[in-house]
Amino acid sequence: MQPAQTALDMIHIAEVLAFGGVLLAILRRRPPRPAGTAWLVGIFGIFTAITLLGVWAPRPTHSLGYLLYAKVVLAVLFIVPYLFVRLAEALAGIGGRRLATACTLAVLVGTAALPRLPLRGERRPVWFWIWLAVALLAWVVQSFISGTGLWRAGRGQPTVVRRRLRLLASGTLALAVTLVVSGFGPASNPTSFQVVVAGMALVSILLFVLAFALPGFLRVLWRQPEARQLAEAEAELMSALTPERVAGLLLPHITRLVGGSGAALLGLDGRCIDSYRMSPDDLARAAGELPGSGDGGTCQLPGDLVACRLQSAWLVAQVSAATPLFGADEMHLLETLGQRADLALARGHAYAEEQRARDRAEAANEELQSVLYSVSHDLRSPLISLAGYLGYLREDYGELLPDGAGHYLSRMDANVAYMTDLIQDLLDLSRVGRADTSAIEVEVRRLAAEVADEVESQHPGVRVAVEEPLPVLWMNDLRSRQLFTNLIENAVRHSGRPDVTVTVRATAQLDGAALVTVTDDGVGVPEAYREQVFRMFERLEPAGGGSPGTGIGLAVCRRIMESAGGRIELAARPGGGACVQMWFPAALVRRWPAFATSGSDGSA
Amino acid sequence: MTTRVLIAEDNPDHAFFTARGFRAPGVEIETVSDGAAALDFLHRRGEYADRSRPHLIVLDLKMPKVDGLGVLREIKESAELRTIPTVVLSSSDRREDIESTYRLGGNAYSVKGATLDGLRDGVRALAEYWSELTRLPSPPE
Repeated sequence: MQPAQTALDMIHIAEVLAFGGVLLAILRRRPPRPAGTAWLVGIFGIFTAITLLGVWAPRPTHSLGYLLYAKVVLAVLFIVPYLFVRLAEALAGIGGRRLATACTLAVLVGTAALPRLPLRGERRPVWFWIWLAVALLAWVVQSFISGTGLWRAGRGQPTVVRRRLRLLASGTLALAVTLVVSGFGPASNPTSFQVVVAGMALVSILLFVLAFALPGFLRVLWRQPEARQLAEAEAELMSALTPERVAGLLLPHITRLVGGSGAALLGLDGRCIDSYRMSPDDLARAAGELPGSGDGGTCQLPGDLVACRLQSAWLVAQVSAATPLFGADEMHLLETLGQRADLALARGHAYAEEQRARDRAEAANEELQSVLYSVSHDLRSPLISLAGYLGYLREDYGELLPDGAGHYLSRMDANVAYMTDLIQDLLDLSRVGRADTSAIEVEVRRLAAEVADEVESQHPGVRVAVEEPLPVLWMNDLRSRQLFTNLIENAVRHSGRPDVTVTVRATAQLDGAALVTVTDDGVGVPEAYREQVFRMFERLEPAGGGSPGTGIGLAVCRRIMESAGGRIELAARPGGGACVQMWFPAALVRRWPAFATSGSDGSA
Repeated sequence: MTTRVLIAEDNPDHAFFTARGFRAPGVEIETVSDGAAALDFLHRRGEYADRSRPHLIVLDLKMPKVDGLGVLREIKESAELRTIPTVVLSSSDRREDIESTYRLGGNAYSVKGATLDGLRDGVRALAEYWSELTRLPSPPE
């Protein structure tokens, strides 16, 4: 046997195996079968049959029986391009069915009318050439319709769907080329030519095989662009806090990744949270078909829908006719994607819960602030009257009062003054949580100097040193003033010496924060009390006597620092005295005038 | 010659401090505790029919019946009363109260002291200015 003949036979056998394999794969596929299956079975059925006939064909003769046999085979063969057009129509919705019908009918009539078929090596008459040209032209036209239609249908589709459609298109066109080559080939039809033609046919067939039974590794490979897009979307997903937003971000990616035509996120009650490219009818159908209870995992809904049960929702994907194959891999993929959606939904849910709790706490806090404000406001009015009467009592009847009454009066004065301070501090405290939070550039150097002047004029003997460089902060004007006033006054008040020196200085931190310290050389605060002093009404001396102050001042300072995003602590100053340390985060530090970095070590 | 001062103030303590602040030889003080009474006094109606008109009026803003601005409006719209200097003494430092007072023709706006001694000292300063430093027109008959 000639090698060429052997090759030809082997190609034929390969073709039979390929056709048969695809046919089996299609028929074995679980219902519901995708659209176009019937046309596909037709095409591969015909290919299988004709290839088998090519191997075991009867010997060509001029007998009537052979002529009839040949005509039937040709007629069946020339139906194939029509089936291609119908398949493309089913897969990608392309038109051209009428033209295909006309072409096929013409070829069938022509074939039926053939008086005889020239055998191999015989001269081909003109009418035969005409028939052949018409038949091939019809084939080419129909292949062109279906091929370009499929190619175009891939545009804008997920990679895996697009490539599959284009494989089909290439297979269709390659087959047409093969037929033209074979039809216009040498009349003697040598075996070597047949090998070439059969090889071309095999290549076309392999393209179909690839397209229909797309191997898993290719599906994974061709999903990579979509997987990358999904990975990019995940970053955005971190900030998605509502189910709608999660769905809006994920659904397009899920659709493209599984190669479906649409997807939706449904609540457990079937209510649509969001959908992507799904019609209201399909959504209603999906909602109606969801199983009553799901224990996770995916399930196939009737028709073209697949559902995946999440913790708090259903993920539904709609499979299109052009979806390569929705097998176990895709189910698993959908499940994985569902888990991501689940995580995002859970995060959003937790955030919403937290937000609600925060809102509630804030509302309660606001109410407390407003009560605090009005109470302290109302408390002042009788106190002012009380102070007034005390003053007039002394002024009008002071001389009539016995000795000793003056002492009572001065104690009353002191208590009224103390209570007024308390109320003023309560008012200040309530203002920290209220209204005006607008920030401006606060030049600490100037602010500290102003406060220093004020304090020094009220407390002769006290010295307040303002050491540069001090930062320019981005803070609320009133609060920053209150902060430094409270700290410096507090240092003077609790220093335990009339000639205390208070120092304000700052150092820049590596992370861009500013550490501002208010240090005094007084008695200092024992370590055990350094946290306590920031709590409200915590004083280290009994109220009303000893050192003045209400015990609110430092609490106000802490609230100011915390609401600005900073931190305040009390430390010891080496060599005695207290040191209040305030960290203003980098976001609050506008600049350091005069010096870029601090030269001082800030260890005070 | 006596100077008559009408004080319209509903808070008895504040009325006391105001009166006490204005108290001086030659100063006669009349006190009413709501806006309607102030207008009756000025128009010499009802129980105030036999009173003489004041040289100076000190008005609180928050008063029952007719509030301070209502009283002020009526005073300044009345051809008869508008020449009487009218001072508003209020605990409010709201911008709109201050603007309204001057728009209606009030002669001064003073905020009651917000500090312990403010009420006493503030009223004293006010009294000193209006009854000693300035010369008031004769009240309409």
